Amino acid sequence: MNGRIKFAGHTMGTPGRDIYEVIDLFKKIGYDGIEVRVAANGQIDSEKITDGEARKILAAAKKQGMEFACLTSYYADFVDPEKRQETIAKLKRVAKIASILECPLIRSYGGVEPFSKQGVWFSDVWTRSVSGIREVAEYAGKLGVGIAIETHIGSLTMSVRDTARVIQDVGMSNVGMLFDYAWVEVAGVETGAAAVRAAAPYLRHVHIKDWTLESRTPLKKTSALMGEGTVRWPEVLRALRKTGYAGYICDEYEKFWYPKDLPEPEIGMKHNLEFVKKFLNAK
Amino acid sequence: MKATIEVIAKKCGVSKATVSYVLNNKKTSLGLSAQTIDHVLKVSRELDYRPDLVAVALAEKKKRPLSLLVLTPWLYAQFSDFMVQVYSAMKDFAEDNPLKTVYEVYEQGHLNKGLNGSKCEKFDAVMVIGTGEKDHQYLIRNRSKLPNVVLLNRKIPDYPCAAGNDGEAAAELAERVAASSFYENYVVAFPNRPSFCEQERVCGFVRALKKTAGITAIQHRIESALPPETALQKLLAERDGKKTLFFLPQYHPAAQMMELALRQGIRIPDEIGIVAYDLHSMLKNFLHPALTTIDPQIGRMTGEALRLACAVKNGEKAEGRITEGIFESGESAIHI
Repeated sequence: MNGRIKFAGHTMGTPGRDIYEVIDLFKKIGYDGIEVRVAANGQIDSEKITDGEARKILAAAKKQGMEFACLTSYYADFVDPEKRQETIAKLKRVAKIASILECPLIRSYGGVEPFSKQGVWFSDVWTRSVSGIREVAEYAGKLGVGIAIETHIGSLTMSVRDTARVIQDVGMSNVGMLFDYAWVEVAGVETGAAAVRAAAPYLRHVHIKDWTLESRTPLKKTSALMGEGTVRWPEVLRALRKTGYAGYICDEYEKFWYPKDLPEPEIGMKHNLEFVKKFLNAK
Repeated sequence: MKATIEVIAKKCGVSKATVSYVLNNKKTSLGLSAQTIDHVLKVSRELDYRPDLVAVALAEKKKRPLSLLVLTPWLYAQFSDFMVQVYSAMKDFAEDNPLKTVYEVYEQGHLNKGLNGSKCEKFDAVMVIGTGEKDHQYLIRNRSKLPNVVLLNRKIPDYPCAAGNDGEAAAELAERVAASSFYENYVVAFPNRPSFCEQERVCGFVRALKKTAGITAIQHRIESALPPETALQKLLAERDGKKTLFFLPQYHPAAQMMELALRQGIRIPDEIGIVAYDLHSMLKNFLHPALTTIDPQIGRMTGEALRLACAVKNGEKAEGRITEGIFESGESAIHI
């Protein structure tokens, strides 16, 4: 048993509800923490929220005994010379909000897709992404905030191998991996327990979600409740427990993107939490 | 008879190593007795032994780290995976061989401004990378003034060169795709100003197609080594509704083209096949399907160049060595 693992819900699972409603809901479901979508249509908009509003949100969470696990924004373009500084500045603002919310992590994409920038060599895409993440990490580190680079489609870091390489190249102690195994499985470089073992030295945060994968290329999948899709969760969760991982496991319940595929969070996220706890044999 | 270590050893009835240890006053684990030491010293005095200073100097030189100047036009080129592989090979080599390296950049075509006889004298060897036609002429004209120059990935007569077999390896690639008899149309695309290696690759591929299958490839020039999407779109148009095989003598533009084709829903390798030359150590991880190509083994080639540099330093014969490119079977083309 690994009692050090904590569980968080992702506000991706609660479209249309504000942050205060989500705090109450996630408390009722039985989570320890909250991961927040930070976007204009998310529960926190980092481009509008004031420091005072952030402090108010923190107070509400504390009142319920909840904490913030991660802030997830979508800024990723470190390559385009015109967008790079804006990306870095906006990520720094997310880090600042995280520090006010006493949230230890912000999510970062591992840059952009390798060929999404015309006229730029792949090596430049890589090095500009690495140096951009490093610049944000240097700022965030001073606030006591870490960066979790997500294994995610449409970036340089879909596999554990490539994410580890970016983390090594960034070379900052407050930068690690957001292990989103469902995407890792699609990437196909590492799967199952082997993927967990490869990710273990870098783990900062973990996402869970399930889907039924019909085709890798072109990508075709349907969201599902945990255990009802094709992702090899029992094997992965057992392997995760063995690593001694001591962070959050967050249910990235994709109700926001696929509202028709998934039931309301009161049902679906509760099911997912019970499913995960069963395999982790945790509290 | 000139007194040598060998003569003394024979006369004393001991090994050459024993004599060497005694004469050089080295601490040894051989456990030599005082009697043996005295005997060796006595005999060497009787024979008036004097060390061969040239041999001593040469031995000392061999022990010193290799001081190497690396001249490259790509020192600050972020795009250059070639240099990444060179650095990596240098690092591996330095783990077992003492190495002092200085890197300098030169502008291709202007090697004369970065390399001359007096600069050569400051180093045991000078490794030159990425030369162009003008640089070759300069090297040929000044061979006697540049005695310790070693070339990497280039071939110039009379210079020690570590290079690839680009023409032959590209020919093998052509033979493999032609033998499948799958494609109706063959297009070879290369930049307006191809490098020496690109020229060799294109010639090797085109000739082998003609020779082994009687196929004449369409030759298509693209604007730069990093072509814009419009240029690649024009290249794709060469397929003209036929099953077409594209050969590009560099990895990056081939990868770009594959990504563009996939984005447009063109099926690879069924509607078009893409084969390349070279291997990008990181980009290869991002390509699906994997690109069929030739790995020129830059790391191994650099290792060969370093061994040539050592031979130059030690006054040994430094002969050119060819590193054979290896066929990397991907899923981007039908081939045997």
